[in-house]
Amino acid sequence: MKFIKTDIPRVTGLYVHIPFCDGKCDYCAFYSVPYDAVLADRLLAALEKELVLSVKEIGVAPAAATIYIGGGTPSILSSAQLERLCDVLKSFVSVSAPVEWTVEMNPGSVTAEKLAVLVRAGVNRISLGAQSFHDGVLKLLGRRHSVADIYRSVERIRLAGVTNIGLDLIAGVPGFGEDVWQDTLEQAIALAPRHVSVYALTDEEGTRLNQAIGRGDTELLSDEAQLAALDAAETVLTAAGYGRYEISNYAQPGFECRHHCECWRGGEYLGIGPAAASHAGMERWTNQPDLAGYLEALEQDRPPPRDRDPLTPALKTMEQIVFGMRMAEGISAETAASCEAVLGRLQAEGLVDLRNRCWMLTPRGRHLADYVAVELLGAVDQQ
Amino acid sequence: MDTDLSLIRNFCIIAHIDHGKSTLADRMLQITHTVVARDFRDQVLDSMDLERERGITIKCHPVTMIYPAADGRSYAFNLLDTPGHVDFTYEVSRSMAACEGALLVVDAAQGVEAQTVANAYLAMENNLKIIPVINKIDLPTANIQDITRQIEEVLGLGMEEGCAISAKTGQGIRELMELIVLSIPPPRSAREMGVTRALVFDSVFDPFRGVVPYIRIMDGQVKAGDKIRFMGTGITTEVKEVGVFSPKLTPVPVLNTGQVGYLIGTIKDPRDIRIGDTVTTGERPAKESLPGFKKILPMVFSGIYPVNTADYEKLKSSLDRLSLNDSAFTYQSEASTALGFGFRCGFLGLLHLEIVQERLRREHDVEIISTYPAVVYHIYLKDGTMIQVDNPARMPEQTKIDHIEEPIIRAFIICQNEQISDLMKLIMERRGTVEKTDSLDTRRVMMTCTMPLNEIVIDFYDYLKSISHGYASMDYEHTGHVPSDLVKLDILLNGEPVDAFSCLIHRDKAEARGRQMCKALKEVIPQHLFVIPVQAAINKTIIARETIRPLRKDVTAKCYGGDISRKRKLLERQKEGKKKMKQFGKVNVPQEAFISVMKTGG
Repeated sequence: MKFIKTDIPRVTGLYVHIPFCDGKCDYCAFYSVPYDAVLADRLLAALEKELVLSVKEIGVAPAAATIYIGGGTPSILSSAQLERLCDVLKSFVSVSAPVEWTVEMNPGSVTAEKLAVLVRAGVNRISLGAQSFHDGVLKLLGRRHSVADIYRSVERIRLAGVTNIGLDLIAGVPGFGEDVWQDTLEQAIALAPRHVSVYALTDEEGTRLNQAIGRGDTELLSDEAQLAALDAAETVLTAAGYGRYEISNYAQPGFECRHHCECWRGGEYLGIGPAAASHAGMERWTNQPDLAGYLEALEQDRPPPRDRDPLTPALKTMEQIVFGMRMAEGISAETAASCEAVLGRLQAEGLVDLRNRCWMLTPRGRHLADYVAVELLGAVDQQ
Repeated sequence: MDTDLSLIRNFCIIAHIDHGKSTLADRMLQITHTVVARDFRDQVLDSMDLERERGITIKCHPVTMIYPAADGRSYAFNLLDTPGHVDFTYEVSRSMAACEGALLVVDAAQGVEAQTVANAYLAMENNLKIIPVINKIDLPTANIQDITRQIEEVLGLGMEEGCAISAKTGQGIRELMELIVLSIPPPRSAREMGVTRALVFDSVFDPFRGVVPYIRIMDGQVKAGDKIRFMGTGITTEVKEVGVFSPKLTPVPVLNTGQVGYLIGTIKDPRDIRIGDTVTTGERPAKESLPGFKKILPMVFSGIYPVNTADYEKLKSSLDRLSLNDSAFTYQSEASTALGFGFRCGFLGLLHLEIVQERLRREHDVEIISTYPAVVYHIYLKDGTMIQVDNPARMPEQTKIDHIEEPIIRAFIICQNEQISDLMKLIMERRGTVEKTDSLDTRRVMMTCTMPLNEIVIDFYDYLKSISHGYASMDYEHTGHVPSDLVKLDILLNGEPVDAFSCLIHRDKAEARGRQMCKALKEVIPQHLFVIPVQAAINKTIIARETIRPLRKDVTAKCYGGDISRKRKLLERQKEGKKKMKQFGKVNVPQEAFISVMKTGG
């Protein structure tokens, strides 16, 4: 056994990265390659091998309470491939039925057949990459589906028996008025999803958007306009009964994404697939975003190339503080004891608040969450 | 042992960069079978890159050559090198004071250049016999007639006393050697029998033997065992060894009148030896020292600070080591509220400053921030006293000041005819006046102008080169201080003045510069949670303002759980960046601010 007793990882989450897409969206910096059925089959075999190796390495089988299959576009896999993937995962997870099993799907590739496979395996949550309810916006973002596809997909998901549906939306798309965003929010609510994620369009390196901005062909909205869009989302969604439980995430009570919440709280999870990240014991590691390298290693029964990030107890606490602060529940004053001085200053600046012995961001603090995080990280050096 | 003075010739070679000084020296060494030319140059190779990049001639140590002349006698030629650049005028003039003659080398295709003029004037001031030498006559573009006219008209030297050569092919070298014998006067004999006076014209530091002064015996003699005194500094030592340069340091029993050589004593600190000082012997000391000794005064000052405060000691020892072989470079510790602990450094000129900064970075591997270069101002106070200020942060209260004087230079700028109007415009923008314009030939002119030194300390030379597409050459000499309407420009961040950004500037230019500086700072200072006014002020009156708007949005949209390592590292990088900033009150200022403010000069 590699780990001494007190270090036995309590891995409760399992993440799978499916790096295939049918194309690249203009803003997306996640790792993906074009879908290829042969490569996908090889990936499934490799995923199984990585799971075997990882379980051996951490010493225990993941008692996965949550499974999250993300991408990329997991729904681009064929029904047979999805079935094979689910079988592999089930055989390794030590609880028979995970509390929460999410699969990300894109409106362009949601079919009744695939849904039936997933539901049969135990999938009980679908995260749908809707992004916008305006075809012009979808086109501008480089999405390859229409608003009609979103409606069709939601209907199919419900028909398949999944009621826990999450919708992703992108705020702050340049060139469209506030009314377009307002309309997207309202159409989203009208579909009554359990969960809504709202991301501001971000200029990420290596994307087409980044290049276009570099050329001066387009620019992001002003900070003020982005904040106005995010604030509008908060107003509309909270009025409709969705709680903002994390900076970018809203849910009906009880439907917060458990998998993500655990990650943000410092929970341990195993990630498999190219570009997937893991956290077990006193270490984080991230597989390199390279499908070829991933396949090559595992087909020779070696672990895939990884970037390792060893943790210290202080670092672990710091992560809990920094990422916990992004959540509405905040962090307990006990956990944040080492940052008290900095938190006090941030409180004076109106960015954080102490309520019921928990530190949390104020509305202004939510606009400046990274600033707060950097200040909190600075507290480590002062210790 | 006595030396026949009539068989000694002491001279130097002066030339504009690339006009062939080193080639000529090599050729002379070869013709006299003195050395393998390589030995002669080896020791200059270290600093060669830097000096060549900066366009200055390379300084090498003196050399003694034995030349069998046509008259059947053998002459000792002592060739003393001079650093070509005007920054080092004082050192050049001391080297010249050790000579009786100078070879003024002019490129047959390029003609007279600014450095030629400045150095020729210096040689004349030192009463040297000048032999004009037109070099590179083998070039197809050589124009001996035109160059002869330039030398006669611009410098007032007759070519009938000079010669035309090609150092490369050796053509005319023999004639030149004979001319040195015939034209350059031998050293004169002692004025006061039995009294020894020697001029220190250079010195080097040897880690094993200490400071080695290079001397020219003006009167008397120096030998091992003598107790000597440096009259300027009062330092005494016992001579362990004397010798000549042939070209390696070669011990001899005694150095006699007229001879050039070195002495080794027990001097450990280079600062004890000053170039231009007079050496005399202990038993019968000279009453008067040789003329011309003065403490070298730095003309340009800049604060040098370590980028990382932890490097303070490293910077200090680097500066110390640099000063060992550069007595003209001064430094003393200072503290800036903006930059913390660092050093106020004095330089002979801008080139000197750049060389030191480059050496710190390249040879000593220290990252430094340097403040806006300043010159030495004479501040006349109302109580009648005068103080010298080289750091704007140390300016007295405006109400106590009667008037301020600033250093002025006379610059020689040589350019092509079609560039005159553009350059005149540049000169006037820099508060200069063109005193006269002389035609050098059909395509070039020489402008003689007067300018304030503080107008050229930053980027004048760069502009000069770019306006003239690299053709113009410039040299200058210091001509004293004149009254000027100068004001102290302060920069305030969030209402607090930041000393490191202060500068003294002419009133007419203050507002424009204030605006530029505020704009530049607005670009580089990151947004804070609050509004930051960036203001320029003269005497507490605000003359320019920019506003850094408060940071309202700083949040990553998406933060998937799996992303935590990457996200944390991004935040950590931001934190590191923040840590490197200097804090003024509540405002964090990145280091780039100091550089970008300097670039707004002019």
